[in-house]
Amino acid sequence: MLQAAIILKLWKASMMQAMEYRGSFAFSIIANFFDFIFGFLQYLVFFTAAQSIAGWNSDQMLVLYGVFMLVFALQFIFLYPNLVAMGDMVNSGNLDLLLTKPVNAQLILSFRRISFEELGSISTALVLLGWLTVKGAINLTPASVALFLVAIVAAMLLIYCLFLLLMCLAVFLERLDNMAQLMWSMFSLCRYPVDVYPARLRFMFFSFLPVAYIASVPASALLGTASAAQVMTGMIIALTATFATTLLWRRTIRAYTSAGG
Amino acid sequence: MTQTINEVAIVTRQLSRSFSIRQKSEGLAASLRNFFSPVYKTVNAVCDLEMSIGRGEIIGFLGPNGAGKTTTLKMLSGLLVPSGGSIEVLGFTPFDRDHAFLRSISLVMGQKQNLWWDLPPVETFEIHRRIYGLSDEQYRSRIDELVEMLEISDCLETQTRKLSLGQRMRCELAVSLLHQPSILFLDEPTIGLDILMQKKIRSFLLDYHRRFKPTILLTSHYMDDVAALAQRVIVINHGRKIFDGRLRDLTDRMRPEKIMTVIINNGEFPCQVREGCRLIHQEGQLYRFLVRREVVGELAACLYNTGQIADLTIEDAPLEEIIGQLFTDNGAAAASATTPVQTP
Repeated sequence: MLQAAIILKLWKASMMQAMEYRGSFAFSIIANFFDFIFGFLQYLVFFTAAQSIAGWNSDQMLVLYGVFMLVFALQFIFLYPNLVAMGDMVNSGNLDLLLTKPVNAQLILSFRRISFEELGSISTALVLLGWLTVKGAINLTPASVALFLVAIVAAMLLIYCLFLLLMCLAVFLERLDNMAQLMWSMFSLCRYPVDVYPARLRFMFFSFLPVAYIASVPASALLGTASAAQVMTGMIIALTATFATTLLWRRTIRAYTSAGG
Repeated sequence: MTQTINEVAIVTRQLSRSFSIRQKSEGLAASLRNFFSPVYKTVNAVCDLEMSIGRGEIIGFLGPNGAGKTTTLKMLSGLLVPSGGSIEVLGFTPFDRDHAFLRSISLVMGQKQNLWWDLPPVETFEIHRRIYGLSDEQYRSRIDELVEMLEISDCLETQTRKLSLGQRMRCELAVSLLHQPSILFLDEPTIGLDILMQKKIRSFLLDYHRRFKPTILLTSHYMDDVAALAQRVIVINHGRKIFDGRLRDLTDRMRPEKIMTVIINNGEFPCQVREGCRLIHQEGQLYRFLVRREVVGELAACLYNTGQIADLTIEDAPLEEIIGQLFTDNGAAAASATTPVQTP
């Protein structure tokens, strides 16, 4: 409870900080909106030449795009600014001051900052998914909604694990530039249905490198084509990965050597 | 300054910490070699450090750059796990990072900051209030007191990045003391500040200590900080303790002479230069002597009796010089050979 109250307080400070630079704040929201629109146009271009991609028709592909953008925007709002700040904190040694506070350092470091720049993308992704529902491409049932929500939580947990892994690397290596590059590479894999990839890669994406659970499985859940077993497998993998990376974080902090001194 | 030391706050036994440091020779070829086959060297930052600090003491923790001061402070505050030995701070093992322990300490580093750069300090105070779970009443009374003591009422609502270094440091101190820590680790708190601001910070720390009696462990390269605040100094060099005792004892042992500067009215120097007295500088009518403490009174009396004295000052050798001498091998041997380690 206390940690949640601290995080809320930090988010409030983040919001106030963002508002100190009104022009930049407004520009980011507009830029992200156009990023969404350009991505949307790309999908439309695909379907001027093809009827379907790996069995996914244009409406299903748009559902995938909407889900992908939703997940991407959520990670951009809650995780990405913390990943960027983490690199600076390790390099500058300011991590020291946070580690001497009576807080859950993992939680606070993971969620201390929040970025509102992707709020525009979230709204447009939700509008797109709403439109696809009205159009009949998505058939909402209690089961599909429940599976979708579980799948989205699993997707966010998996992204968080990658994020935590990068934070551990930043602490361990003392400097890690372009940490976000790995995240972007992973996201570029998630833009397309996992069925597009060859069988071996597909197996890997459902097991060791579980990118299938980031967008394809949640989108399938919304389309009613994912099984409960598939969604629950994703959740089990996500929980196991969260447990493992949390242990790794604890070990990393014990091995922390701090900057200077 | 009077205080009661009846309990031990910090104890270290054979505390050691080593680091593996990557080595690199000069040039691109060496960089390439090092990239594929790095060579590491083990550096012992702290070696077998034994110390015992009582509750409420103010300790000056001295040493040249790289002596191991900050590493020790980081181990005491739970940031670094020691390579060997043991530490107990207020009965806790610091690197367990028990929240009760972390609530009892505060680490202030002159070159690092708690304050949110783009927000006014009052917002960081609010965040810290939440972190330490302070009630409205506690928060209000403490903040009022700190704001008054540190004279920061005019900068609470200005963005941190627009504050001067001195204002920022005072706000940093306010943030760090909001939860009234029992132990305060101060790492170069006056670094980069002008003399006036250094004095303000020193007098605040003395006042704060008088009111709340925290244990303070202070590192500073400004000897005026140490002379004004510390009742006891611990000196380390190459990670090893070379002196632990009162500052007065250190100066007496390292420099048993006083510096006597005499300006005479005219003519020859009016007194016989006696044993225990050595002329170190002369310029016109100004004479400067190194005089053993036991003959200072006798020489001064002799000079006054001649009626030829325009001015006379007697002072200790500058503390920087004494500490600098301590870091030479001979100095360290002299200090450690004669100084009993003080324990509370």
